[in-house]
Amino acid sequence: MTVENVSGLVRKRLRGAQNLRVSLRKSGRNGVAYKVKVVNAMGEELQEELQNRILWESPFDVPLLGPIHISESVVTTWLIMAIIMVLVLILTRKLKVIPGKGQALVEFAVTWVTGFLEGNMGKTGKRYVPYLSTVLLYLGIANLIGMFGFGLKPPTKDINVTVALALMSIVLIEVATFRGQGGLKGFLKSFTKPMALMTPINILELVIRPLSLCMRLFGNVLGAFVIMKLIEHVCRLIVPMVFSMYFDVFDGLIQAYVFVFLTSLFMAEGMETEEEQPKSTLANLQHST
Amino acid sequence: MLDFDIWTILFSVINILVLFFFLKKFLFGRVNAMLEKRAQMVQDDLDQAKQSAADAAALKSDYEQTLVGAKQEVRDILSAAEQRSRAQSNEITMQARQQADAILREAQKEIERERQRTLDGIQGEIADLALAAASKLMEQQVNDETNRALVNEFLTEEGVGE
Repeated sequence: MTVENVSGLVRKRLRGAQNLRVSLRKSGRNGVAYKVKVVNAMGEELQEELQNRILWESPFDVPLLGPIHISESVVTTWLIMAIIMVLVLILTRKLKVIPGKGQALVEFAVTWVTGFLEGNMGKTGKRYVPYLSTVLLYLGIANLIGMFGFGLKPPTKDINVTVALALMSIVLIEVATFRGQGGLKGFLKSFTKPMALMTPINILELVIRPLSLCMRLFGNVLGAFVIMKLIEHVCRLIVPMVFSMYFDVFDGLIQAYVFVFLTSLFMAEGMETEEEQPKSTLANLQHST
Repeated sequence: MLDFDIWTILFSVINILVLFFFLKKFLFGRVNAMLEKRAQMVQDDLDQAKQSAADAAALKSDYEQTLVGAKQEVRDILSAAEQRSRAQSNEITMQARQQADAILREAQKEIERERQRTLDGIQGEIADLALAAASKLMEQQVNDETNRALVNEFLTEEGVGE
């Protein structure tokens, strides 16, 4: 689905509305026809807005590097990275054993995210905590950045960014599975779980998981972004703020959380070994019967 | 919207990796090191407190033992001193008694000796006196030596010489 497709869709709809207007004019009810006219004019404006401003990207090519193309989302990501790096450097500059306010905040954040991810993956997943927290932090800020204005758009509304994240997630999931199962044999064996019949589905999941991760994030952020822009176009006062609370803050943070949560969940599933599975319940059941 | 762009994907991957290594080093590395340091410090403090408590308990029992020993020692010293003083007083008393006995005996002997000497003296004088009286009586009839022997015999018969 490209921009042209969308504009074609909108145009088709507009044509339908025009037909309606014509029919209304025929019926002689000028008041209604006027209203429809107004709505149509608005629709056209919205469509223009959508094409020219909202979905417009400002890519710039690096002429010296040939085909290298740097998109707006990459630039926004650099900005986010700069913000994160500066903040982290400031907050972790002088760490003391007896913490101040800033340090207490940083410590709380680190402890919370470590606890959350370790709770999902268990102690064996401790080594993956820094990467997953990085993604969580990046996604959290990336999804919220459209809210602050300055013409910034969330980089996660670019499917290429979410594709990159999903690819890294699936690589990490498989690496964790490989390590957790202790080598190639265990890794291959993990595809036949819980039974041999599931093997094709397990192989399909190699594609389905990153696809769903990437599409969920991209779709949510893009949808929220477009809706927010349209609302802002219709009414610039207060109303967008209310909707922004849901679409930007709530949905944005939820999507960041869900992305990382699912990745860690898949990793935990991959790392799970047979010894860890509670056989005792089965044994108890047999014993009691 | 759905046009894939390999460069953006590539750049995003690089961006995330850079951010990851940065955060790993500067956020997680630093904060976790600090947290570990704090945990270590608290552990050290706890260990130290436990150690000091144990030390204090050991010291206390040591003192108690010393105190019990000291009490025992005092009792020993007191009883020894008492014993020694009693023994000493006994000895002194005994010595005094012995000395007194010796002096008494000496005195008695002395008295006896004196009496004997006096008696001897008296006997000689009586003999002389008797001799003088007898020679006066009998005038030159008897020589001195025979007379003296006679008188002495007489006196011995009479029992004065004893």
